[in-house]
Amino acid sequence: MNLYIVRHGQTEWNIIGRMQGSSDIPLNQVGRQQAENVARRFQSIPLHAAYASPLSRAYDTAEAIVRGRSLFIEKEPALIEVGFGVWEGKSFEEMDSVYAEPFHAFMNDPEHFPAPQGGDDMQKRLVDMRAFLQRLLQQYTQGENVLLVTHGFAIRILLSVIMDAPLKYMSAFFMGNTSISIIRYEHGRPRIELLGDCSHNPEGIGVG
Amino acid sequence: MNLWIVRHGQTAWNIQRRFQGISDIPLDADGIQQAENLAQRLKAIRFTAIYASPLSRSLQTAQIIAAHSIDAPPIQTTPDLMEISFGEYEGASIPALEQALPPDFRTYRYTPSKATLPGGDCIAQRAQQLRSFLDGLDQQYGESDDVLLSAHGYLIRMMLTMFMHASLDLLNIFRIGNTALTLVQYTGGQARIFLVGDTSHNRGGRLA
Repeated sequence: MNLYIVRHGQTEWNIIGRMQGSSDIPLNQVGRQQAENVARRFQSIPLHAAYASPLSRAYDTAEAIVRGRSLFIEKEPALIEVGFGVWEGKSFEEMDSVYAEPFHAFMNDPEHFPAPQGGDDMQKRLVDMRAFLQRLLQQYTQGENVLLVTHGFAIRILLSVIMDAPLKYMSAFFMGNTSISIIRYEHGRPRIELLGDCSHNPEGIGVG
Repeated sequence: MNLWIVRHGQTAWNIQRRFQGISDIPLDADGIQQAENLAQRLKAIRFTAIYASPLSRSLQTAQIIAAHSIDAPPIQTTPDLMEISFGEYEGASIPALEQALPPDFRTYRYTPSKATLPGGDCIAQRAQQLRSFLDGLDQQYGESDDVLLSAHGYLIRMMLTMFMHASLDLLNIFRIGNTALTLVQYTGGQARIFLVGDTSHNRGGRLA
């Protein structure tokens, strides 16, 4: 099974720098264009299944990729962005100043530092993601391509589960909007082939 | 600084799936073409500095990139970027060893942090050297500097685990192809990994 992991396109809150978490902020115009760009990258890639976070920024990105194929997008709760509780809606400036200590502590080691009030329980998110990955591995076989459209923090949870390594190690990964990552499973073992490819977007280290 | 980390182009031993290590196997014709593809992709980057392993496959890859680059600085070769010495295993078949799994190879394969290759490198020691090298660069270069590192597969995978502040033992999950591009922002000992293992420049931008 090959996992094609895509982060959603740009939203207004990505640009102005606000914590989104589980808030359902839609794609902006740039984000919709990015979704078209990433869809083109998938043109010659057969897809056997598609799963997306139910949040519209992810689901709409998935729709662009899957358009024209006879493929149903499954809404998957394990792929929803991590809820940041009372931090949602706050600007990054505020997070880096007023909330700097708890914010950075949490971001660097979300399993061991307190989540914001009303935010997700990381252990539960990890358990749910592990269960989701298990289902995928049971359902899809060698060479089948599975599309997962999700969010930045959720991708770190997914990588933690794939690598079977603590979540805190994943805080170094910064995936851009509509970035593509590819994980190949062979004989049940994962190999990370690609992380963070944004070359389809004008600012994203294009080819040539 | 922005670290543009590249693996050398293809060599005959890559195709034959033999351990190269510090054996100086040159780029083959495809390897040179791959380096040219990568050079086209990177031509607009103004590198502040270029470091390369002295092994010809990496040095030549760096030279090809520099030849297409605006105002490229002279290439500095450093043994810190040399591939791991595989000692008695140099020239041996990779699939054969992965099948047979002699004990010291098994340690190298699954717990590299504890491995010393017979007649070759102690992995932990090379990791320490690499860490010092990267910290030296961090001290020398500023946030807006673009630094090219032309290196080898094993070394790049080691770097990734270091950037994650994770155990070396995770490194084998990463697959770094010939001329794969990895982009990491590294400042004050903190890394942001934006891109890992991108070889799309060898497929005209195609994803897979």
